[in-house]
Amino acid sequence: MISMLNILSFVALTLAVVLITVRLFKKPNKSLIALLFAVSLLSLSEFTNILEHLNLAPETDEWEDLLEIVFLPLLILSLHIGMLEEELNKRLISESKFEAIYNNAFTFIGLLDHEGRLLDANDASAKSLESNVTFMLGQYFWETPWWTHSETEQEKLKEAIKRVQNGEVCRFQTTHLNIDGEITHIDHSLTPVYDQSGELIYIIPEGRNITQLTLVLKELEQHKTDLEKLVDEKTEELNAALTISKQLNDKLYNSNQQLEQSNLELKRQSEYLKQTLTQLQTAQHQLIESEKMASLGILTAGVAHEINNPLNFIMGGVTGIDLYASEHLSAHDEGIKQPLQSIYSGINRISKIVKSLNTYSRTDNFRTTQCNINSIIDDCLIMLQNKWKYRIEIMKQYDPEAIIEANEGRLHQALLNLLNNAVQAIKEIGEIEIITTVTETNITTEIKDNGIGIKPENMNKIFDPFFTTKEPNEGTGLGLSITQKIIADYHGTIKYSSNSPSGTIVKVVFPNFSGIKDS
Amino acid sequence: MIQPEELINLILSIVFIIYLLYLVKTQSRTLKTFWFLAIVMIFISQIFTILEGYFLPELFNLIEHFSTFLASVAILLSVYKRELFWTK
Repeated sequence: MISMLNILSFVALTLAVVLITVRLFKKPNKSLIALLFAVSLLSLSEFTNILEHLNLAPETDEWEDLLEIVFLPLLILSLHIGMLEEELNKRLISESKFEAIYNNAFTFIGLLDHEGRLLDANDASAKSLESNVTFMLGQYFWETPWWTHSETEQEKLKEAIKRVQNGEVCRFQTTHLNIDGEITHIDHSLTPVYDQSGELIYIIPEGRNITQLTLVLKELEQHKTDLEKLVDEKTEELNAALTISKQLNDKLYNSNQQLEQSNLELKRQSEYLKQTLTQLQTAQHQLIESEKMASLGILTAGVAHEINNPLNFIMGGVTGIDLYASEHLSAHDEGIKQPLQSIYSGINRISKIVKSLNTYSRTDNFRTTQCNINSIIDDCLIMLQNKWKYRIEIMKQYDPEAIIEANEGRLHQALLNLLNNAVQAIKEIGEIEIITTVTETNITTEIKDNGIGIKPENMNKIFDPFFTTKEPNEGTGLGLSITQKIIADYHGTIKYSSNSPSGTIVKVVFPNFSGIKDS
Repeated sequence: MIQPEELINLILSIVFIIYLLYLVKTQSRTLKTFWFLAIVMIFISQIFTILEGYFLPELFNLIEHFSTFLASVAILLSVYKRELFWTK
């Protein structure tokens, strides 16, 4: 049993030795060599043990013990070497990483002792001088070639190192000379490193080349200055433009005001033109009416003349008959006188009508005479007799001094219109009161009727041309308009008002230029 | 009877075991390996080598050789599995 265990142990250990040997050939290693020795010794020990149990070598106990004594230290030694190698490998890897960072950084990194002597510097620092930094090691940092170009920068560094020695982390901007002798701008920092007891052991100097950044900043500053200047210039230009714009705006505003005024003036003129056009139309209608009246005047004048001649014959004949009857037919006086009186009466009436027609038909429109308003009213009443007789009572209250300077025909036309309106306003029976009064200043004619009156809403329109409330064939709507015009031509005024309880009062007032009034 | 070589061997083993424990203190992974098992088994084997001189000589001798066998197998497995850093 024990021999079997020894054999199995030997086999296992021999396999292990073979395996280690193969691996040792592939990759030589101190720890593997130690392990190979250890396992080989143990294997040999087992082998001697087997020989002993098989009585092939009975005196091998000492050897076996010796081998076992050496085996364990060797095994532990191999472990120890392995651990050391691993630690070393770790450190090597760590160092290579550190060196990769340290020497490939763009920044200048170094190491100073606590008094500021240079202990190491990375490749970037060396490249900035294009030389090896080995000869500088041990020098005070401010005495190295990076700082010797300027005493000021050296003093600055010394001061910074003093501050670091007092526990501060310093950062400042400085300048270095590059290999071409040009000044480069450096952002420099100094960081203290302490040991476990808190003692300063190292100072890490670190520098970053900020030349380009500085140049860009300077350029930016220049651009900023230029931009500010440009902004100032443009602001001034804008202010000037604004002032001009304001002036133009004022001018525009004034022009606009003028245009608005012109527009108002144009509107006013347009209104005036409309009014003028209306007046022209009115004048045209007046002319037409005047023309009609003139034609009517000519007609009535011709008719009056033609009637007047036979009337003279009739008058002469009747006078002759009257004389003859007085001389030869005295016995028939009673029978003849009555018809003759009737004939005389008729002839007188015809004569008055003819006279009125003559007055109305006078064509000398611009010739003025002293016109008796009362007579003209009477003539008008005669002309309108067929319209009012037997249904309207005419009451007259005349002032005998109602005389004005005017064209008799036109005045006749005006008063005829007013009296005609008064007659037409009375549909059946009624009264018309005609009053003429004279004062020192005015000559007034009032015509009052008790007809249908004028509706209040029409009161402001009655003088408008073509305004009429009569039936289509009864009036043109021009009568009062023409009348107002005629009265206004002689400086008179016309005013309508309501007559209580019904009817209308029309009041025509002419100025009394003569100022004569019989008290 | 205890032999002087065996006593020296035990004393040295104790010293080296203490040193080994000191080494593996920083690397706990070592304790979980066949390699560590092998060391322990060899240490046990050496203890039983001494004890077999006083008590139950046959049984302890068997245990000693069995421990050595286990240690041998553990070393083989450890090397085969490349579980220790220096074998990799």
